[in-house]
Amino acid sequence: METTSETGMFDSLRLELRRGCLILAVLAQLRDEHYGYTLRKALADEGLAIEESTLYPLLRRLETQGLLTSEWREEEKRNKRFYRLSKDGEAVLELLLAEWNGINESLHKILKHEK
Amino acid sequence: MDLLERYLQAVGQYLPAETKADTIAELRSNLMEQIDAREEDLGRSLTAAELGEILRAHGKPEAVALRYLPQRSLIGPTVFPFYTLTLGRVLPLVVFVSLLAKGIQFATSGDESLAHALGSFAVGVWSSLLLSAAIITAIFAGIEWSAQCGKLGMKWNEWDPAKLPPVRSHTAPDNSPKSMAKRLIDLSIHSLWFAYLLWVPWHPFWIMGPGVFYFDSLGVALAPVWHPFYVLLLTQLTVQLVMKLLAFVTAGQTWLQVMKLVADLLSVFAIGLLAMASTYFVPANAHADLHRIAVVNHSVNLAFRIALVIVVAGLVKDGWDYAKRSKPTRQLAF
Repeated sequence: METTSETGMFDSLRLELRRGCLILAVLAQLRDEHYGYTLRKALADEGLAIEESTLYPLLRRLETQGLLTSEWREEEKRNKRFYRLSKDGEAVLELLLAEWNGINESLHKILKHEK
Repeated sequence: MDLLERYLQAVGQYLPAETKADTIAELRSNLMEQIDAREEDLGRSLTAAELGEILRAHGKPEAVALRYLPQRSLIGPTVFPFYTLTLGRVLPLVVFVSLLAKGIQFATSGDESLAHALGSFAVGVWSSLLLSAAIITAIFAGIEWSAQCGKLGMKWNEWDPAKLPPVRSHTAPDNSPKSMAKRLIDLSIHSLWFAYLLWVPWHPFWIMGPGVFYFDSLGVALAPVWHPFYVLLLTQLTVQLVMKLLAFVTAGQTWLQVMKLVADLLSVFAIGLLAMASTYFVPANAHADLHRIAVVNHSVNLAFRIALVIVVAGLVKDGWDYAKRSKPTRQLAF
């Protein structure tokens, strides 16, 4: 039977594992313009659900780092903030994807006997 | 929508003024989208309870606001191990230096009681520790700030393997037990010493020899403080006698260090008792020289204060040795 400490440890490790992947997913998804709500929905539709409280501050942070650009625009009679990958963001995304693919290949080799 | 505005206002309380309006506007926009989508699914307006559920899922206002703030830490993960290492090395040193300074002050002042000295040390050492910790924290916060600003650059992690100290030759400590002959001699000498101390109170000649006649001629007698001191001394010798006997039993080795500490503690109590007293000799008759007795009492008191500092230092050293031996040796994880 799974103990509370094991569950807590798993949650913590899962969070750590997801953290880097989420950034990569957000950057990749923002090759096309999105505002917060539709971005979250698009990611969830692809199977990567993110809490609002994680996603929205992450978007701000990536924008502060110069990886995203944003603009307020009216759509359906409501002001929304649209995010898109910046030029620097595109370059960083390429580097991150190369890194991701390398890690992925290595992991596949290491875990070849795992299901 | 009053609930939404109250929620946004609560979040806004924790946001910095320069980004507050922008962040709140974005949060409002996203939450409104979510509410609209939910209403579209249900085909009706949300009840207050349903709106409350959306806001609850979004997060507690303080927690939501905190996520928008830049990550702040006085000392970051790179510098933190060096910070704790420095604290671990400096703070025991502060305690030792404070103890030494207080001991010297106590031994030389002559008119400070032991209880007062211990009390002022206990109070003073905390302020010294807090001040030292604050200074170290400030220095490391400065280092962290410099590293964050790029002023230290990569120098923090630069090091030269060639400058590592040479490998020390590890000579194993001699923990081998004494030989049987040595243990027997040790026990015999201690037993004789014990018997002598039991014998002398009724035969003072065996303490000072012919000097006892001179002592009698001065017209002085021993003060009552020597009685509890004598009892403590005998207790300490009894503990040491048990230690000498345990030395013959292999199973008793683990208790030797503990008993040594107990014996040291009894020494501190015995010498402390004498250091706290101010009268060691009292006039035995009306012809005694009171001025000379007062001078002798003062000198003896000073000597016992110095002795107390020495036995306390011995106790601290033995305690440190015991703690080091009790501590399990670190093992590599792999």
